[in-house]
Amino acid sequence: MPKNTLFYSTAFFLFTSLATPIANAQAGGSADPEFEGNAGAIIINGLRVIKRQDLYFGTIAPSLTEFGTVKTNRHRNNDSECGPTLTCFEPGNRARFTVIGEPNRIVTISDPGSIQISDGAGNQMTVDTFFGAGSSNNSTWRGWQRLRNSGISRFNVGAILHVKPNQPRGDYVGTFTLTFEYQ
Amino acid sequence: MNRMKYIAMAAAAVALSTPAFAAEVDADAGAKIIAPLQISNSTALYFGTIAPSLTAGDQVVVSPAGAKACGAELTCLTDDHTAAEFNVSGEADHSYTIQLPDSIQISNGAGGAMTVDSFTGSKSGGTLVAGTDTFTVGGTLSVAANQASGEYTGTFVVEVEYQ
Repeated sequence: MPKNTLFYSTAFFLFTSLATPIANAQAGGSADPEFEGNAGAIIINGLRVIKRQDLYFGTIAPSLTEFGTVKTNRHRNNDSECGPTLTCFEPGNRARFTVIGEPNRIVTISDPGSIQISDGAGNQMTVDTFFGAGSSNNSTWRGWQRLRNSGISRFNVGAILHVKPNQPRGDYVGTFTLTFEYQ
Repeated sequence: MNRMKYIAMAAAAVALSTPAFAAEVDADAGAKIIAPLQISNSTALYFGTIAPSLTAGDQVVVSPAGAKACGAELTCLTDDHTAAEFNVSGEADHSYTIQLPDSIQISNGAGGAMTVDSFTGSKSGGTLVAGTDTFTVGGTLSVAANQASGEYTGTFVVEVEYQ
């Protein structure tokens, strides 16, 4: 919302800047200099992002004494790397998104960094090391992607879940936010 | 008139392009944590009190059910032998497997040692009905001829793993 407010303010300023010389010209009569300027713009397609799948790390049995991690695979569903101290049952899934916008334009994607997911009873786990967003490997956040000729691109996001020793049982959930901007 | 049109077009372009600049999307991240698998030992594997032969070695076998078979060369003096008992807990209705050791040594603390091997479980795995289960383990003790006297003890490791 603040971003939109700022932008409209800028637009208003631009409008008044352009309008003032013309108004002066009309009010001032033939003695005042008159000029004609061009104003134009290229309107591109608005960015739209659709979430097609949430990030899910599966069902995990923690170690009683050791930390462990689970890493989703950004290339495939139902595939995650379960750390040796953990037992993973149902495999995890990457998050999947579709971006719709101007063909061949580059879109930057913000890195969520680190988030907490919670069981609603005061227990938390950390999700970090988000990867994907145009990267072709399972460890890097590239942070940008060029939209295809159709203006539609799909991309996937994976991350690492950190499980503490004897992590309390429960369903843990949290939210991460991605921001997309034209470069 | 043309000027006004240009100006109007410029204003419209700015207004229309505003929502195209950025877009945000939220996604959930989630996981389900289940109870860790735990195991505890409630009864030790015990072969009882044994008198060795002076000339020949032999074996004592304790079955997972707790039955004892005493080798002919030995004299088993007591009937207090026990199979080891283990209690397992974890996520209800989940299955697990059991790993037993191949062989261990038990010693009397004075240089004497005996081998316990052929560990046998009452089952190779189980299901945690209501989140718990129990199994027993037997084994075979090899007693050498004229085995040194003493109280022999040792430790063996049993591993359980979710299936």
